[in-house]
Amino acid sequence: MMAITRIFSQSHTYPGGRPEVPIRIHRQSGRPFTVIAALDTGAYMSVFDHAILPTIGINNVTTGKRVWLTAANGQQDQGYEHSLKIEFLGRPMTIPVAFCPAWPRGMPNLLGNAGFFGQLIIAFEHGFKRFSV
Amino acid sequence: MQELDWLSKNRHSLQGFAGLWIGILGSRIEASGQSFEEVERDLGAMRLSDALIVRIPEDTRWDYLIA
Repeated sequence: MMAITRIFSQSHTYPGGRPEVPIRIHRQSGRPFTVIAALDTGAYMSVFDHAILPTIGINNVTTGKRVWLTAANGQQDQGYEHSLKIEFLGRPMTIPVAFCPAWPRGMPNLLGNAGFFGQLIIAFEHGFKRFSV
Repeated sequence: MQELDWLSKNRHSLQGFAGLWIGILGSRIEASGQSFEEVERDLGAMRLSDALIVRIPEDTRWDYLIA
C-alpha cells in the first residue's frame, strides 16, 4: 500500500447538511456580488440559477453553447453554457456554467466537475462537515 | 462564511420572507425584494456589495435533495 499525502492551504466547515460556500460572481462592469453555491461532486457541470443572468449582463441565455442537463429525477432539459468569472474562497476562477430557463428561479447554484473541480484538489470530511482545498 | 452560518441557524424563522430574495450581511438582513436584480440593486445603492443574496423558498423544508 502506498501512502499519499496532500497539503491543503485552507479548511472550511459548512453549517448545513450539504457543503455550501459563498462565491463572488464578477460581471463585465460593475460590482461583483455574492451568492451561495453547493459543492456538488456528483454534478457533471456547474449549473446556476438563471435569475442572475440580467445582473451579469447576459440578456439572451440562448447565446451560450447548448447543452442537455439531466436533473436528479431524470428529467432532461436544454441549458446554455456561459463562461463566468468567480471568486471561490479568495481564488479567482473562470468556469463554464450552464443555465436552464426551464428550471425555477431560486434553484440552488451547483458547482460541478467540468471546469470547477477540475481546477482544484479538494477533500471532503462529511462526518465533520468540513472540506479542505 | 458568517452569513451562511447565520442563515443556517435562522432559516426556520425566515418564513416571513418566503418567496422573496434577501441580502444578508453579517447577521442582518439588509435588503429584500421580489427579484434578484432588485435586491442586488438595493445592496449596491447602500454599498453593501459583500452581502450574500439568497432566495427564501416558499417550501420551508430546506433539506430537500437535489442530487
